Amino acid sequence: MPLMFIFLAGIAVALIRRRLLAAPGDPTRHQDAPARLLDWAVGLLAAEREEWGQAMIGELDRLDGRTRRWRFALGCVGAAVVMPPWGRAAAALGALMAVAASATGLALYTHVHYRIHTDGWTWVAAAVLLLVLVGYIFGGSVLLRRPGVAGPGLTGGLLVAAAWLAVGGFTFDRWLNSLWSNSWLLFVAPIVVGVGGTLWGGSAAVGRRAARLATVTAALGIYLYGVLAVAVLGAAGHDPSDGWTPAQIVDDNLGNQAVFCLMALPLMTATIGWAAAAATARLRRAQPVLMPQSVLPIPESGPAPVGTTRATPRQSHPATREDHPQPSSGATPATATRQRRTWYLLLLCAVLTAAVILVFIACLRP
Amino acid sequence: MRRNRPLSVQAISVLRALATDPSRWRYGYDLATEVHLKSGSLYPILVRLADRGLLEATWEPGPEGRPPRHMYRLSGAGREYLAGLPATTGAVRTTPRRNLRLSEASCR
Repeated sequence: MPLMFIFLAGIAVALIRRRLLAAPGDPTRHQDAPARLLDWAVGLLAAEREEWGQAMIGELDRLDGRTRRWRFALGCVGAAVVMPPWGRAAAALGALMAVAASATGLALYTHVHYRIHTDGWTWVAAAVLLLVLVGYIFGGSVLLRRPGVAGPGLTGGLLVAAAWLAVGGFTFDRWLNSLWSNSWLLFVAPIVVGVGGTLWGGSAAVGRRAARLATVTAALGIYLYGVLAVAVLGAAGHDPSDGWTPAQIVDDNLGNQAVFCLMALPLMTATIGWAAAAATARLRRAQPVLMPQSVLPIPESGPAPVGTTRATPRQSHPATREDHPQPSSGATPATATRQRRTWYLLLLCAVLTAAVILVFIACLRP
Repeated sequence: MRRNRPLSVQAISVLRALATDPSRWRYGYDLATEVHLKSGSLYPILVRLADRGLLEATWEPGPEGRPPRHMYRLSGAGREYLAGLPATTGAVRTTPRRNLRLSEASCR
């Protein structure tokens, strides 16, 4: 329950923050949904393809009509998501997919091997599980392509996974039966990832994304570990007098792994890591990460048309406000900006206080 | 390796659309409309053509506060490439069959 509160409160704070801190002169403030979606997708492109993303944005900007804009934006988003080169991100994504596929296959094997009862709800659960795993892979692929995120994210994923394994005592038996020794590690590891990602990347955006990528990486790895534990141990060690059959025990353990490794722990890790990254950036007054300016592939001999320039488009229109924070518009009164920041800080403090109280209550509960 | 792959019929139709007036700079959406391609297909094709040097691109600055617009036209290499193709290749203006490669089209 506290985890769910923290997660929902984190989303609410992020949304309110975006609204409160957006400067009135910010060009992204009044963008419609297709433009915002395209802005997001363009951020996935490799640095050498950056100008193509700007080309899509420039073209969308001239289109009228809701349907036409949506169709154009969705097509561009599809192109941006898959457009090569992926570089080393492809290898990391392949590893994530291999882990997810292994876990799925092992869960299927366990289900068959222990002759677990199958009914309609089993298929529903399997569909939900597959959906969650595909979501993880998609999220991982998006995060891996963000500049400066892969390094801290994957390293953080290993750290978080190690922390979870430490909490599980590094044995299958304790993982399934007596978790929660050294549970403080579950809170410290995401804080380290959030802080480390922010310091490594130099901005809260990189820190938050690193925390999310670490969560994805650790969740998939730990889910594979948990399913392996269930497959190896089966129903060993359970008391037959409790009325449960071995197949029911295994079924219950498999479900627990999915809920625990793919939902509860990732929610908590991502939320704490996000908060740590935001707090670090605020305390440090981190400088924004500057994207590399690409050079257009125009031959020098080719004459430019009248009234055109060859300047990189980023100079006049940043793709995302998050990556390229703009100074407040000259028309924005400084006092209004300060008031918005004050309201945001008050809200953040209130939510953090409530979260800390809830966590303490949860930890102190016998 | 990838550079040597034959261009798709869609890519050639884009080249042919640009070749109707080689000196004129064209916008992406106009090109997409003319060759009946969706934006998701057009931009990867434009990227591929630019990578091969068959295309020139430049920016048209936008009005105040608006993003600039990318424009394209055929390069000298693009004109030479088209000149070396059979006249019928990629001439289809309606939606071309997906995944049809130049090598297949040339066999017809």
